[in-house]
Amino acid sequence: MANSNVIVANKHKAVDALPEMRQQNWISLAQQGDQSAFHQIYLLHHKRVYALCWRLLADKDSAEDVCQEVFVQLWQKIANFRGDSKFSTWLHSVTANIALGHVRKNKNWLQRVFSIEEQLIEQYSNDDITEQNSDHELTRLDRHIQRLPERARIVFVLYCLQLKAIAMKK
Amino acid sequence: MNNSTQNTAANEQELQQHLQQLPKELTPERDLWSGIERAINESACENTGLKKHNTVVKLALFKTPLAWTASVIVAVLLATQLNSWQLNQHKIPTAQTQQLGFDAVSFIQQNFNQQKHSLLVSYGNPDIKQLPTKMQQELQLLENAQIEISQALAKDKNNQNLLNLLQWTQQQELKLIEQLYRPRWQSI
Repeated sequence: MANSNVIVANKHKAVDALPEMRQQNWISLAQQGDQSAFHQIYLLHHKRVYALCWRLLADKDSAEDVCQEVFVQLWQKIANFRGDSKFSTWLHSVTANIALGHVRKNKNWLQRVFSIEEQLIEQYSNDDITEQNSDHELTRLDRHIQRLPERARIVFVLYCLQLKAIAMKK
Repeated sequence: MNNSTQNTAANEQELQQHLQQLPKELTPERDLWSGIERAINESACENTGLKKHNTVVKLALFKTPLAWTASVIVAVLLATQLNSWQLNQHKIPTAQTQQLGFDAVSFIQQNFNQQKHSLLVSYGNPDIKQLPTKMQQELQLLENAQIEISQALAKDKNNQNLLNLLQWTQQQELKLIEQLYRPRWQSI
């Protein structure tokens, strides 16, 4: 586990080490409709986007769907990015908003009226969680995050990932 | 108390440790790019469709004055047709009366004569020549007008305006007779 974390950390450093000009070039090309440049942006950022989606939604399938939705919307909105903030910060803000929108959309009327999610989550035991998450990438903290009630999970994830403004709104 | 504080601090420290170790990246199990690419291409097609739609809208905007002109022409034509239809509706009784052997002018005149006679009878058949000259002149003017209108109607039997004018002058004459001979209550 420690080794994998080190590898991921190194990858992250490598991403950070990418020349800003190179990424800026991809962004500019994508803004002009270059799909291959947009694919490069996807390759660079999709794992971070997916991680945020997974932690906010606590569901693999939903996280994958929302991750796709994020990049589809990113393609449509990338022209709006003017470089006032870091691209990764802007992208993560977009991701958080889309994921929260997904949460709101997928709540049925019963879940809106009664807070039944907590009852459902309480039914899970530690063993169940461990069995459900056979993915070696998931840390112990991730498994605990998955167990949190929805609102608490969203606030915790957004706060810990420095997206405090969105967390405060929630 | 101290133990609980220490525990909290330890927990906080452990949480911070875990947070630092928390990987910023997770790998999705399935390939997401193919779906994204398809959606992007579909949206591009939709945008092209949108451009076409915009072109259609622009064309529609271009055509709007023509549409307005056409609608105005249609409205005018409809109004004309409706007007002529209404006139025909009014003409039908005239035509029917003509077929029955008498025209609208004589019918109106007959009606007026009956009303005037009834009115004069109700006032005891007064002698009009006993009226002041000015009043006599007024009544004569109205009668002359009726004669002239009737003559004009003889040439154009279906002229609705002349028929209306004839009826109006007749009504004026009846009102004048009424004003002249109506009994007035004297106040003590």
